[in-house]
Amino acid sequence: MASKSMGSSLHTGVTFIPFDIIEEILLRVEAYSILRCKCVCKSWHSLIRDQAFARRHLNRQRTSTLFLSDDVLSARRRSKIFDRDVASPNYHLPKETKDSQLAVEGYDNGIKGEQPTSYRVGFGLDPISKVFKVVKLCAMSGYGEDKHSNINIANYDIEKSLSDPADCSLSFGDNGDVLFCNFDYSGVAWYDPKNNSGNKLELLFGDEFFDHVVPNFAESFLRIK
Amino acid sequence: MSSSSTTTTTTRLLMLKASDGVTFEVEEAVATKLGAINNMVEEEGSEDLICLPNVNGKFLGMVLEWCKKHANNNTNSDKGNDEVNKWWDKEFVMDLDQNTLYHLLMAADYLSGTELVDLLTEKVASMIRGKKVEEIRETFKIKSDFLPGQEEEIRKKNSWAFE
Repeated sequence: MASKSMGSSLHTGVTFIPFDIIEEILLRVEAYSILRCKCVCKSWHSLIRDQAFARRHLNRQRTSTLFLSDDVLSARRRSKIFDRDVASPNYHLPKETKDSQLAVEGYDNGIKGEQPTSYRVGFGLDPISKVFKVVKLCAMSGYGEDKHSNINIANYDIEKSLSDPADCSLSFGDNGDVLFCNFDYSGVAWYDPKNNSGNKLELLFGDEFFDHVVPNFAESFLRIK
Repeated sequence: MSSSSTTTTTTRLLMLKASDGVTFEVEEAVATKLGAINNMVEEEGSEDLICLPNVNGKFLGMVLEWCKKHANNNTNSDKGNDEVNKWWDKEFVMDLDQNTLYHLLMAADYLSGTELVDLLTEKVASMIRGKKVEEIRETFKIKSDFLPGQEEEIRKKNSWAFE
């Protein structure tokens, strides 16, 4: 129960339930339903759009850096990365950090592990897999996080550095929601047409399975339709 | 619902008194599964009667029932404890009506029964999953306090969640 920016004074209908317990409950609700919960009342809405909440939500889940995840990365792609690991002195595997997430920045040649300087977390829909996810977007050092609204991104291709920025799009609402497409690649570079500049970002995805939250209690409650 | 202890054990017994005066005699090992009780025992010793003015007898009884079950499961069989606990937890929360569930959650939270809080919050969360906004409001007895148009706006922004 770390950060309680919301305080416990905000009301809910079942008034005897303090707001920090409501928060604990909502942390266990997956992204799809969370988005609906936003419409329930003002206090839920401000809780859910709070970055601190989204971060806690993400951290509850089995998050995986894309570079290391079996689910997300194709074996082919992974093997490329690991080949490079051996070959290139510039590439370091992400080290465990406090919240065990570390972004990896792509370079033209090789990859360098680096601590993200800032990040945003949001709930969003992946229109390709039709799965609702929690997304953590890390801006790498030197790139501000202010340019996050309606930017175009391009797949960051390890072989070719920046590919066509018109490929796909990534958008953020003002409320921190992330609606994104096309995340086949773990490294994405984005192109900001206003400034005519390109930057690189790392996407980290939390998956939607909650069985670890209450160990040994998985089958009974889980899964949404 | 006072627990009748078997006399052969050497385990210390604690006396817990609920807000409505109902008392429970519980083995120390069972009661100290609750963080709050554990703290009180460590700070003040376990001879005294422990008063719990924020929990009434009904819910204290249920919390203790849960603790007892888990304590027994964990000592009686060395294999499959998790399985047993899991099965039993499922039974435990299955038939709770909403009001009981909420009160029990509050009691567990007050007594710092972390595992039980986990179990119950998970149960409440399961009541939200896949539901419509109106149904969630109904579940939590919440009235919308958005200004006219505000809710529309939010729905529009998150329209893909409402398809």
